[in-house]
Amino acid sequence: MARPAARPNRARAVPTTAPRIPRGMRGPVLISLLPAAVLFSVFFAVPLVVLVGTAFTDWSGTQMAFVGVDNFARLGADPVFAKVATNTVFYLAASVLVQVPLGVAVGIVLAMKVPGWRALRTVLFIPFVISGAAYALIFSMFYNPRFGLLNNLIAPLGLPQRDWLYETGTARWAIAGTFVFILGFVIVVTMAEITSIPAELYEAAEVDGATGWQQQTRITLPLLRNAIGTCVLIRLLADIGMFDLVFILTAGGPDDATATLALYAYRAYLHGEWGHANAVGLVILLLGGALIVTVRRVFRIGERDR
Amino acid sequence: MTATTLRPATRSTSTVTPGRSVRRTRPIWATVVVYAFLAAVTLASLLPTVWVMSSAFKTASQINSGSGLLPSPWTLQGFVDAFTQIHLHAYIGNTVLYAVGGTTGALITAFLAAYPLARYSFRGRNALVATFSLALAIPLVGLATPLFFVVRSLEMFDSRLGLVIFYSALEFPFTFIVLRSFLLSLPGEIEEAAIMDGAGYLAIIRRIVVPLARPAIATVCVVAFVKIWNEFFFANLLTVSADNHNVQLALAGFKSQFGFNITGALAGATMVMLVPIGLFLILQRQVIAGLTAGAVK
Amino acid sequence: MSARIRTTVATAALTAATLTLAACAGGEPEGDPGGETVITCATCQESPTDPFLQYNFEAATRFNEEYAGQYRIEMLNNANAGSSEDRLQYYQRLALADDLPDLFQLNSAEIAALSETGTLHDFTTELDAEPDWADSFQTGAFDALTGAEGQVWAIPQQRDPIGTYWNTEAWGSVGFETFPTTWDDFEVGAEALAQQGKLALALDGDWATMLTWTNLIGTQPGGVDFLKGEIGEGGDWSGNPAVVAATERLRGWHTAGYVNSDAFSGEFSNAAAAYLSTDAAAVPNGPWFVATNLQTDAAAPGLYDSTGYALSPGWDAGQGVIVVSGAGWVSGATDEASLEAVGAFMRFVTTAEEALTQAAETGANPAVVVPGAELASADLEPLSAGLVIAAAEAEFTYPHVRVFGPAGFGPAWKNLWPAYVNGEMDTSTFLSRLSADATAGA
Repeated sequence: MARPAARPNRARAVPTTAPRIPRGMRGPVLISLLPAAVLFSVFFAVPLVVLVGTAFTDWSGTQMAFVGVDNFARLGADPVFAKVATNTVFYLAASVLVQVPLGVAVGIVLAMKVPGWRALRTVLFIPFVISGAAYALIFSMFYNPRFGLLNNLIAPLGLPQRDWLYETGTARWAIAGTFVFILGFVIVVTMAEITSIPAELYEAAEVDGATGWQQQTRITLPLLRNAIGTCVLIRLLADIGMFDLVFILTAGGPDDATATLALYAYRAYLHGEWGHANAVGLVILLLGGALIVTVRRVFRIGERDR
Repeated sequence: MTATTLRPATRSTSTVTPGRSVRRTRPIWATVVVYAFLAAVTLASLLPTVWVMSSAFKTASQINSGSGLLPSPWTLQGFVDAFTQIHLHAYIGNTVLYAVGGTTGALITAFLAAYPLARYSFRGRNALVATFSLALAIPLVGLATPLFFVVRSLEMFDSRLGLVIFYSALEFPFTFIVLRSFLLSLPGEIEEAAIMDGAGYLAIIRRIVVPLARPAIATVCVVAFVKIWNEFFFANLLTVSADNHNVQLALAGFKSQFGFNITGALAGATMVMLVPIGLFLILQRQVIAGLTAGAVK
Repeated sequence: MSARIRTTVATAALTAATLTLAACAGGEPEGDPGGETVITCATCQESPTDPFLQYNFEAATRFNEEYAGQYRIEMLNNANAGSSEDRLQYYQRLALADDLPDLFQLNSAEIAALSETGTLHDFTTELDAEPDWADSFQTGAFDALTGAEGQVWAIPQQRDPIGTYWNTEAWGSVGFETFPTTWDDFEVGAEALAQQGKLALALDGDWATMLTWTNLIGTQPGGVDFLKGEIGEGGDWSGNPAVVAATERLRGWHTAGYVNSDAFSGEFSNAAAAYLSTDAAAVPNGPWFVATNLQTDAAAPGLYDSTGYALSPGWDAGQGVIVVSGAGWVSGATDEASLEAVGAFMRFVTTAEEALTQAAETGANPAVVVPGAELASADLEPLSAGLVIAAAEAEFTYPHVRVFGPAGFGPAWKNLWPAYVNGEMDTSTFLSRLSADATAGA
């Protein structure tokens, strides 16, 4: 499943014949599996069952009534839900179309060992370990139209001064701008994959007179298929539940232009409409599952082609 | 499964890939393009953060007027205010408790499960591994309401201990997968002698497996620590009292106060960010290995 | 490699040690009550920035001393105690968890919302049992705190006029020695200030913007009726001419450039920053603004001295003032013993002596009747005291929109207002959606 791996084929050193449990150790083995089983059941299995079960009910936390697919019908009829679903797809697209390609490009360049590559890899990884809440504070300052850095920087260029986060036309883009440049993860996965490409391929190409650019586009890029697919999958799974930045920065506004599925579900939870919230939760989970299947197909993740 | 960098040191990690370094002399224009590209990307990635961090040393009036990139005059008042007015130390204390407790809980639980599931074959093993791994594929925010319900039912809502247990569970799947893949890669005969000698189960784990697994343990620990340190969604969902808030909730709440102390807030945010950044810089290899291995943030 | 591992192990050991320390420090102090009734208060924490919380803290401390051995208030540390934006959600969620504190403060809109979901205590019994106490409150003090069936959900805490802080030097430079008394004059001054590159008004998209909207509505004929009644009745506000006029006028100030460009985040800090940096020449807020902002380092030097505090301008029939009488003490206690302690504290904070202490510390006007001479000698903050006196002269007196407005008003406003000002929808659509969303979110 989602054990997306840069190189699933090569690392699988599974001992095909693991020994059976020695006599006298059955008890201890069972006991040692117990904590994991309990944690998993309580915090993953039970909530999952509750989610699926209550998505078809009207549940306020105390009272519950079966309502069939009413919750989903209500979602279909709610223009705000259509809006937050579109926004979520927009953020997913920003990750796939901007963040991943940019990260892969930087990864390829750094893997060429240009002077300073090591320092740059470290520096560009830093944003990845900064929290969403910190990013929200940073960008509430950065985008501020009165004293923020962005307007100050673009003013001399004659570009319009805007209230980036609170104008409906720019709000979504401004939110996407906070995360599409977090490249560290993609860079590192890309670079790790490149080190596994046999050098002979490049040497042969060199002999054939291929330029550096041709080598990268014709050898490196196709062989990065697995790595790119992995990055796409990881970003999609992370962004489908996007919440922190939007919740803190705009609370979903203006006019729900930045709200996400997760925020929509959270609002329903706050209003005590838990069945409705769980219907949205189920949509998020199913969408996540569909994305996993699709991305694995498209990128043929895990398949060998060399 | 990946974790190539996590394999025991049979293969040097710095596999020198022959011939991949600059092979030919690039034309100057190409070099210029490459560095211009890298400079642009670096600016886009880090400029806002660096600007805000430097603003932590500015006076409130300089920040409010938006003048100057660098602090003038420099002041450390914000860093004082972060503790005297914002009480950042209380939130840091909570967060350290959550991160250390949650990491420890996840580590112990995951190790105890990963060991038998990696080293022995028995009926149901593969199904169990698949089930545990499935948890990583679930966008957990979708489960927010049921999780709130479960936590409340267990009387763990708005409780420090409750959050520690929850974070143990949250980091369990990732920790489990990374540890198990490492244990799978260990040679098959390591425990044989000990088993012959009649050593107990826990003794084998403690004396033989844990020492060998140290690199993987270090990796999962630092990654889980950073992830819990940065966690916002569930801290917000499962706690309400400021007494139980972590640093991320504190960051998010700074601006909504009437007496908003901007220098204190920025200084506080800077310190909160510097913890994972510092850990990353010190333990860079573990962080990168861990994140690419589990590959989920 | 091995050096790295050693570092890692050392780090792990260090963090483990820290864990132990933190765990010890985090232990709950469960003192032996010994017959003492302990109640929790979620708005009694020590606060260097919020004078109301600070007063509550001191009052609770005095109460604990006076009733030592009998009652004790345990002060909870509550990040949402003072900020109105997240406060309701906070208590709603505690109510969901069936864990409301024994004592806390809310405004009336929040009380209305919470009385539906939670288990708020009805103070009718206590007040009926002690007519003298009930009579000590100012007329109308309970108006906004009473439920549909006559339940008294809260004991009022204050009765505050909220005015506009204005920069006398900035307005003086465009010929205004006193703050404009009509909106027309205000716009004349705002235009002159704009010529100088200054902003007339600092707003935030939430609290301060709503204060201004309230003033624009309340100073029109019929506006007071809207703010006291119609706003809470679930109708469509787009049909009310006073509301339409107020909304359009306020939007006009944004498009004319009289208001700070960062007035949509919903963070009051943006409005405060604009005023404190002297970019903006006026900002609406309550008396607490003095201690929390004006007298801090964030204010430009000398700004406190050149700041005045004024009533709201009017359309043509006279000036107005918002009086917040909505905030009050509520209780989530259910057992007899706790309720007895809650009742004792309520009587304690509403004595004339405590009311005066609160007035002196917060600048807030007491909810109980206090002789004028005592009030004058209480050494109130001069800016606030001046407004209290001026407020008596105001033609219109009305509550903040949040007092009688639906509980979902705040989030709905914050979501729609920026889009409306930005020209995404017309006034009628904005008001229809605002009234619908504000009610739906309750």
